Amino acid sequence: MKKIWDSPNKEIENFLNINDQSFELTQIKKAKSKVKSLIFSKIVGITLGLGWISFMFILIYFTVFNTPISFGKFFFVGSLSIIVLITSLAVFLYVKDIITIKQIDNSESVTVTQLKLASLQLSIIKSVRVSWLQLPFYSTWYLNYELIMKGNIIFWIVQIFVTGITTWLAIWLFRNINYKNLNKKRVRNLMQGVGFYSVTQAMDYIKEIDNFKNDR
Amino acid sequence: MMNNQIDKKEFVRLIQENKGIVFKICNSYCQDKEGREDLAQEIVYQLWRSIQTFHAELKFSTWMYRITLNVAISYYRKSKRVNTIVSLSENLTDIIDENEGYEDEYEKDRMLLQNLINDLKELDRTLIILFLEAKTYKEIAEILGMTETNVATKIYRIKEQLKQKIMNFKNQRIWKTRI
Repeated sequence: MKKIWDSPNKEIENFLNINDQSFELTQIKKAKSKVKSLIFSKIVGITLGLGWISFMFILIYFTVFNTPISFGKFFFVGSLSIIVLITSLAVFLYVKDIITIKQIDNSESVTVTQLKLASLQLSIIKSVRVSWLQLPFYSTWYLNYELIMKGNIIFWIVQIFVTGITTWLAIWLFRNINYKNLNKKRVRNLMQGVGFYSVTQAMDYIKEIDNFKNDR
Repeated sequence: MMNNQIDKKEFVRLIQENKGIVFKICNSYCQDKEGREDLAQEIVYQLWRSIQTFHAELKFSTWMYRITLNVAISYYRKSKRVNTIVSLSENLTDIIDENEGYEDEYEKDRMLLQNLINDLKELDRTLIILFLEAKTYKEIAEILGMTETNVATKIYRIKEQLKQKIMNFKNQRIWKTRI
């Protein structure tokens, strides 16, 4: 096998014939593509998150300083503040990912670097599970004195059902979407169903690296 | 910082000296010519970018293999998500026999070996490439981040696996010529 591997190969002569000038061009081209491919999705996430937080802040600011104190104001400001807090946490996790991407060192051993890269792909799971926690608060921001005191039975049935189901869903997703549960078929299907196929792939790869490293 | 010590000219010279291994690794992780060139450029870019992290206590070849393999595996995994990588070994007899452009048996054998390597799992490929590049178990362990014993066991298994596949391939060819 070694003899075949080392046998002369004409293709190598014509391969990667770089000089100083073409090397310069390669550098510029690759510097651009790298930023695009690795950090782009995280930057999109951060931009959307910050946009949403700013919008919520404007609403909170106008409500606090431009409307009289009321029962409804408490629900509105309270719900939006929790949404802002949870979205900020998700944005923070994305920022942390960008810092990790910048710190990835390809000159570390293959298993270490590959493990870090796969974990990075998997880290989206943290932002996703945290983000779900804001779900019930989208069903409470509009509550006011009038609705609570004078709301009819249908209003209460719908309100309790929607808030109840979103609270249950948020807690269930927060508790179940984690690394350990990615082995469970139900969670795997859920993640793949919402387009996070790369997350389950990353999890499989982490297992593969672990087996490779520890001879299992 | 290494960047200050190795200028562009020196770096380009080092790349030209080691382009054989870059080619073989690209060949093992990318099947189309265009993709191979793109991967090679990515490797060169990453080598230049990482040269500042080069530590004197590490052998230059160990450092280079680590970066080249890491970039190649990441590239492969990225393209695997986009395209379905087709396993070649099943139809290898046809592929190799139908290609008449080979000048000698070595070229045929090289294609067979390359395709069998490309059919291994991405991490197993690193082991056999480094083994064929005559790296010691110690250096392989250092490049991959595993123990020497584990390297030895795995290489033995992969070699057996490849031997078996080569035997099957040769038997298939004998059958074909008889028919």
